[in-house]
Parts: sequence; structure tokens; C-alpha cells
Amino acid sequence: MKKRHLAFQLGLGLAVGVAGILSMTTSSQAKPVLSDVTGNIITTSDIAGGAYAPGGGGQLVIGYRTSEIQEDVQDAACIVNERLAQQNLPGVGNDTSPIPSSVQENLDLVLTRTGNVNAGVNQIQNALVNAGANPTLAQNLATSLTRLTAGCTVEPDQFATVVEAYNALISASSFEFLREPPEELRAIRSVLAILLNAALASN
Amino acid sequence: MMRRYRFKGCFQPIGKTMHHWGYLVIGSVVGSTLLSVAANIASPQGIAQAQTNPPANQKGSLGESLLNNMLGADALRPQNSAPNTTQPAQTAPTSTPSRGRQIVQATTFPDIQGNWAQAFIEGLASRGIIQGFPDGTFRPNAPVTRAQFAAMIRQAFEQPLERPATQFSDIPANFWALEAIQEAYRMGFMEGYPNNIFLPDQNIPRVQVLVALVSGLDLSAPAQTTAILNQTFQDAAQIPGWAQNSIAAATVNQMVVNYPNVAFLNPNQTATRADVAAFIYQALVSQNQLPQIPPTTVASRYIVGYEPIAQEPPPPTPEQLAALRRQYLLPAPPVEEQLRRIVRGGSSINTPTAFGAQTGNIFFGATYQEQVRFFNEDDGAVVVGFGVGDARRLVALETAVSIYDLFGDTFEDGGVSFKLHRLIGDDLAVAVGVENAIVWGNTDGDQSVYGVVSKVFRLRENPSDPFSRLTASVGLGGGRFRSEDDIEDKEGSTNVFGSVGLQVVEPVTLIADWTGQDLYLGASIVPIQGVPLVITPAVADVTGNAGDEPRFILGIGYGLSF
Repeated sequence: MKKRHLAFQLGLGLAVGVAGILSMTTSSQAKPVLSDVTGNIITTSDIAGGAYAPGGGGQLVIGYRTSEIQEDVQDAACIVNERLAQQNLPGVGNDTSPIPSSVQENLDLVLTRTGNVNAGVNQIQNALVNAGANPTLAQNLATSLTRLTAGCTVEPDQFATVVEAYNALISASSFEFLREPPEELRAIRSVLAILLNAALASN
Repeated sequence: MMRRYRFKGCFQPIGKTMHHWGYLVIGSVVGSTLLSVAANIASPQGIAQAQTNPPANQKGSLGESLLNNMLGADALRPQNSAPNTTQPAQTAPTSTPSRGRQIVQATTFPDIQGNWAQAFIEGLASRGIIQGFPDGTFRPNAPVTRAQFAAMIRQAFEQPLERPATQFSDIPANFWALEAIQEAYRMGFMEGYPNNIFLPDQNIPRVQVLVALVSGLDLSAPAQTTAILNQTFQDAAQIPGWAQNSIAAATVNQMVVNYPNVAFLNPNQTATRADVAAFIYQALVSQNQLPQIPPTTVASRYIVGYEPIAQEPPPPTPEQLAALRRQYLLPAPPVEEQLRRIVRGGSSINTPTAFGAQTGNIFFGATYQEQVRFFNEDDGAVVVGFGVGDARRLVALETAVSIYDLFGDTFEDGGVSFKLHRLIGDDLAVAVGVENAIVWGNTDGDQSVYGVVSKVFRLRENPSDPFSRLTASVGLGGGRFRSEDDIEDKEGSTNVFGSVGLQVVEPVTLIADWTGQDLYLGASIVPIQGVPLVITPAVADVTGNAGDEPRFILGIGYGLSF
């Protein structure tokens, strides 16, 4: 009796199991699988995104010639910021007279601070113009200084722009303007000299 | 005190008297010339010097003309013979307004170094107006005779001749300073004394020097003469009455130089050579013929009423301006233009676009499905491919070899796919392709034929700007692109698929992709600027049209270009 009962149970289980397997097989066969191609596309270069699509390409940018130059300029920017914060920006060459604290404070604001620095920029511009500089060139120089050394980072294109604006102003300046330069020009020259010395030393 | 008279026309006409003087002068000159020739024979150096002398000054007399070819002015000194070291050399001017003869000209002297009048003396000596002695000294404290003063006047000034010459009874025709005295007289600087005498060897007092200069230069007396003198000089009372107007004129013209005390004129004191040099220098300054003594020099302390002239600096030359600008100009920083490659993210997740590899392009990729469709199993696949041809000029064929079922039957299942694509213009491309055209192993990736069109919309000029590019693709395909129902029914059909990718920032593109069965959403990310490595995380089967639930999938690809 027990043997018959066991055989029944085994038969029933087998039947259920086969039924289940068949059921699952049927189910899976009923559904389209396509599991190999339902992830990211793996049959074309589109897996590499826009590597070969138009609209990317190249862009001409201004960069430092070497990474070493970039690092040294960033270090120099930190020095500039520290000196401005301590208001002990040095003169250039034989220019040993101290640069007024108010001038350094304002330049620090323009070079490093976020937010609206228009007042500081205007102060520099006005000082240059009042000393005889060309108004447009003075505005270009003052504006270009905005956030030049912020975060001890000097973007190479801005660096080049500032030096270009500075040289443009100098090239258009009168003898009297350069003989008695305004304090703002002395301060700007000092900042640029520090950065350039670092950059050219690594060049 | 010697009184000085100046009455124009009070002297006899020279007429007859001058005949006698003329003979005397000519005789003297001839005699001197003969002496000179003899001396030149004995002294070749003298001949050489004479040969280098300039032509005689046309304003000079015959004697003066001949002097230019002789040993020098000492030949006409009172002794008529050897040079007299007690008389200063009468040398040539080296520049206007001086004139005369040319011998070696010293511009400074050892015995005036540090002397209060050094600046005056050197200023005049450098212009040949005054001379030192043959021994090289200047003797600044030595007195000056009237004859010597006349000689200095003659060198210093070129005033117009106001009157005819006169004959002073105490001046012989061969007197060394005859010409100078006559010229100083005719220009109005000097006068004789009553009885037609000149007293050439008399030491000249300071007051006479100043009066002579004022007279010769025709300077007018200022108003309030007495007040000026009293306010200026503590010894104003010593100034002779006949000289007061002239001294006042000299004072207001800053011609008076008082050493050692600027407040004391000492009018009757014998003028030293330093005094006379100072007076003459200041007289020439008043005529704008010499620059003012700088306020930094000692001499300026003794000029009465000295006020430094605020001298306008001369306008800079273009060279000076350029040099100053060069001091300020800065070198350009060591930066350069660099071509930065901009790699954009992809624009599709699961479906093909019409862009593809061409000659020189090789790509690699891999995918991972956290859970494959309908099964709670993960899976992966890899692909490598390359391109041949030029999609822009004609057409390019991209070939990709894919290995499926990476987790399990590694490398046992795979397929080869092809995409023929052409780029039309800069932003439009068309392509037809066959996925899994060749398969091996047991892959469930159907063979799928498709056609697709893709276009890049440039929303902003700078590809680095946010939202600068939108890429859209629309395709039609069979195989896996069919609808879920057609796949279930195993009906051969075609279906539309497509994708849109918006580059929100340079390294990130958001993507929506319709596979023909379900929607995929994801992002294509370029993690390293300029490096063509693209990672595309996404969620598959978002809408549930296919599969049992949304699934995470990840793709990574790297495209090389040679």
C-alpha cells in the first residue's frame, strides 16, 4: 500500500514537474527574448557615442605651452593673492616705493573676488584715465583683470588678454603718463610681472 | 672813490689824432708780425698752431687779423715781448657770443674747485668768454683791472656800436687791450674819466662792474629804486648816488651776486675775477644767452633775488618716448593656440544612428545589462569594429564584430554587423545596415536590416556651450526593430525607431531612444575632456511595452582615429 502510495506521489510530482517545465518552456518560447541586443547597442560604433559624429571636432583654445608653465603660473597667482591680501605687493625693478594699500586692496577685489566688482574695475579705469591714459584702453585693461588670479588659477587666454591690453595701453601712453605712472598701473605691472616671471622661467 | 662819467659825444673826434694812432698801430703790428715770423721760425709748433687757426674775424682790426697768425695775445701785452703771466690769456671764443682768437681753451681750473663762483667761471670759460692764466690757474680772488674787464666785456657781448671810438690819453697804441677798451667804450659799457683818461690798470670796483653792465645792456632803472636797494642790501648806503639806478636795475635783473653774504653788496670793494665772472654770467642770463645757474649749485646762494626758473622740460624725443615705453612693455606669456578636440556624447542608447566609422577609425565597446529582458540575469557583450571608406566624399562601410553572452558562454556566441553610411553636408547622414549579418554560436540577436537618417542641429556656435547640439535620428528596420507584437507573432515586418540626444553641457548628452519596442532613457558622458571615451548609463524598457520592468544598462565605448 505504501509502495503504491509512494509511486503515486512520485508520478504526480513528475507530472507536475514536467508540466511546470513545459509550461515554462512554452512561456519562454512565447516571449521574444532578444536578450543579447537589448542593452546598449553593441553592433555599431554608436557604442562610442559621438566619436565619429559631426558637431564635435576641434576648437582652438589658448593654452600654456607646457603643463609645467601652468603649474608655475598658478603658484605665482597664489603668491600674488597672498601679497595683495597682506598689501605688500612689490614694485618692479627699480620701482621700490610702496604701492598704496588702498590701491592693493581694490586690485585684490578685482583679481580674486566673485560677484560684482564693477566698482573696483571703475576705480582702476578712472585712475588710469585721470593720469592721462586712453579711456578705451584703460577700460579694456581694467575689465580684463576681473578674477585673473581667483582661486590661484590663471586662465591662459585671460592671461594673454590682460598682457595684451596692458601693452596696448603702454604703447599709446604719453611720456608724462609713464614718467609719473598712476599707482594703479604700478600695481598692475607688479602683478603681471610676478606671473610672467614664473611663466617665462619655466618656458 | 673814482667817479665814472658817461657823456655821449664828450670826447674829441678821432679824426686827426687817429692818424697818429694809426701809424703807431700799423707800425706796432708790422713789428709784431716780424717778431712773430722770427718766433715761428724758431718754433715750428707755433707755425702749426697758426695754420690751424680759423680765418681772421672780419670785425677785427688788421692787428687782430694778424694776431690770429701769431703766437697769441700775449704778444701784444704791455711788455711787447714775452708772455706776461700776470695777465690772463686773451683767448679765443669757442661759441657765441664770444669771439676773437683761438688757443687752447680750458673749461675749468684747479684753483676754482669748490670755489663759490665755480659754476659761473666754468660756465663762461666753457664758452670762451673768460680765460685762465698761462700757468693754468684762474686766480678767482685776484683783482680785475679796467683793461681786463674791457677784454672780458668784449668777449662776452656783441652789443651794437653806439658811438665812435675815442682816444684815451693814457692808452698807448700798442696797449694790449686797446681794441677791447675801444669796443667796450663804443658799445656803451665803459666810460673814461675826465681829462680823457681811462686808467686801464686801475682795479675796478664792484659797483663799476655792475653799472657798466647795466649801461651796456641798456637796462632801465626800476621804480622805487631806493626802496629796492634798502630792502635788498644792508649796506645800501654805501652805493654811490650816481650808481643807484643802475644797481637797482642790476638787482631786479638778478645780476648782483654777493659773496660771502648776499645781503651785502660791498659796492666799493675791488671786484675779484670771481665777482666779475659772476656778474657777467648773470648779465648774460638776463639776456637769455646763458642758462640759469641750477638751484642745486653753491653759486645760486649768492645771487641776489635768485628765483629758480621753473623750467619746462624739453619735449621728449620720439626715441625717448619709445625707450620709456620699452621699459614698461611686458613680454607675452608663453601661451599658444591649441586645437582642443571636442568629443561629444552619443545620441542613442540602443538604436543605430547614421553616423559611423570610416577609414582610420577603430572602436571598442562593451555593454552590461544588470538584468536582461524577461530574465533576472545579468549579461555583457563586447564589440570591436572599424571603418573603411570616406563617408563625406562617397560612402563608408563600418564593420563590427560582437561577442554576446559574455557571462557564461564566453566568446562562443557572436555576430558580425555592417553599416553603410554617407555624410551629406556637415550635419546630415544616411545609413543602411545589417545587424548580425553573420552569426555564430547561440545568439538570440536577430538579423536586423535597417535604414536610418540622422541630423545634428547646431543650436549654438560654440560646441562647448550648453545646449549647443541636438542630434536626432529616425530609422526603419526589421528584426529586432519590429514591434513587440510582431516579434511575438514572428511576423516579418518593419518598424520605426529613433533617438534624440541633447548636449546639455559639453561632456553630457541626455538621450531618449525608441527602439521600436520600448523607450530607453539615459545619458552619454565624456568623462575626460578631449578623450573619446564615452560612458552611457541608461534605463531600458522604461514604458514596459517590452520586458517585465525597467532595467539598468551601461555601455562604454572608445573611438580611435588615426
